[in-house]
Amino acid sequence: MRYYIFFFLLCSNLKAWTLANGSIAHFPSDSIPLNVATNDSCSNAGISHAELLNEAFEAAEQYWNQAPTSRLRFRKGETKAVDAYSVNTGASGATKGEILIGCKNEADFASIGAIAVGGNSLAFPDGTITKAYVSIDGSASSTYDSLSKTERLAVLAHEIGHAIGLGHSEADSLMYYSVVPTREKLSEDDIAAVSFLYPNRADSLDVLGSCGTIASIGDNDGGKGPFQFLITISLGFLLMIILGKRPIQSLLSNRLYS
Amino acid sequence: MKKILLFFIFFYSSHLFSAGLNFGGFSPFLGVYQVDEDGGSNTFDLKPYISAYGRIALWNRLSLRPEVGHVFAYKPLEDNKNQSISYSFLLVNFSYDIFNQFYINAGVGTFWQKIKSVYGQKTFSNGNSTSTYYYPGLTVTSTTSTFNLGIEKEMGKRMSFSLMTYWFSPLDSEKRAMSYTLSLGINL
Repeated sequence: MRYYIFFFLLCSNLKAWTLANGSIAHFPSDSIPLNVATNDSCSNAGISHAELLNEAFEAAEQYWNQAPTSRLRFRKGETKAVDAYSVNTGASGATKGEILIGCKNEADFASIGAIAVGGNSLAFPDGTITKAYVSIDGSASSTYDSLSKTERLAVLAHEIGHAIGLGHSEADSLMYYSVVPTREKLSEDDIAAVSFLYPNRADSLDVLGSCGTIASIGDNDGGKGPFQFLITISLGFLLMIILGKRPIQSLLSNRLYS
Repeated sequence: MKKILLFFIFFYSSHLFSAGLNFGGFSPFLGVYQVDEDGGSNTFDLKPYISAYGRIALWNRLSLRPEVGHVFAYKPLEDNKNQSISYSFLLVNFSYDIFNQFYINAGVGTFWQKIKSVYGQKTFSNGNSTSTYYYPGLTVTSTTSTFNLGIEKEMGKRMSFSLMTYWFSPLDSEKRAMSYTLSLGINL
């Protein structure tokens, strides 16, 4: 019995970033446009479509674009009317490679206890996210306009997190399941999550800019690659130290500083 | 690889090479991520690391100071049982002896951030209901270039103290972030 209790304690303390999908799904592109659908009015949410586009991009810039170890970058798109608008049922209406943001007047957000929802559509079997959506409560009971600017940006950034493939976190972070009023930056957990799905690639080592080739997400090095290189270099250092018979420092001092 | 080893052995045998070990703390991405509910950012969040460095005399007071190191795996959150982060790095710095073995170091480097996750799944709150989310079972490496700048003071012939800063993605105005190390060096 005590083993079961121990196991329970271990499991109950899990706090980590998660993925929204069972597969490791991500957008194939490094640069994702944020577009706003104008089909449904956002007046109940107290915001215009143009303002929603500005706030969504500001949220993406303030949070996700700041992750230094991730190649992901959002760019500001446009406002547009789309066909078959239904942003809360799997990104219908969105075009390939974009995140479509909009207000939804029909969705019953109050019943699901949410101000906004975000998600994506996958192209199985490779797990690529083809398109994604963020839907704001635009119904008469919307509470979106009662949020502060900081909270609205955090809500938008959180839903964009779902759109790019991230799940909820139990820990204090942007992807925590509830809005934290003082959440103004990513947590280290959020940075690890987005860097996991969208890591900087070895082919972008040029500090002046990056090349555009596609890399595999499954970089399970298993001791190969850069780590093997570092280990070899380290062993080289160690070998020299062990084999060294000269008083190196004194020799160095003589040569360098005399 | 043999060429690289031969390169170091050549410099070692030419009497213009010294080597040492650094022990200290690595603080990633100063001020970039939030660490508490009051909105505070990370400042002195040091993770233990170890590195090995060499010093190759080039000309007058100028030397080349290559360094390889490893930041030991840590959990981004205390209770995170499923995931860890570690870094390995390779630096190629030039070192200039300003006066009395007080050096200014500058150069470029590469950091490999290793994000490890153990597979699992868990049900979290999601609005009024719950949803199942997934811990992926994979290790991913994120590779980032740096510009490096720092100072180092040798205290006697055996010990040194250094403060180094590493500017990740230095020419990218959005993703630019500074990390730093505080370390104690032992010359071998």
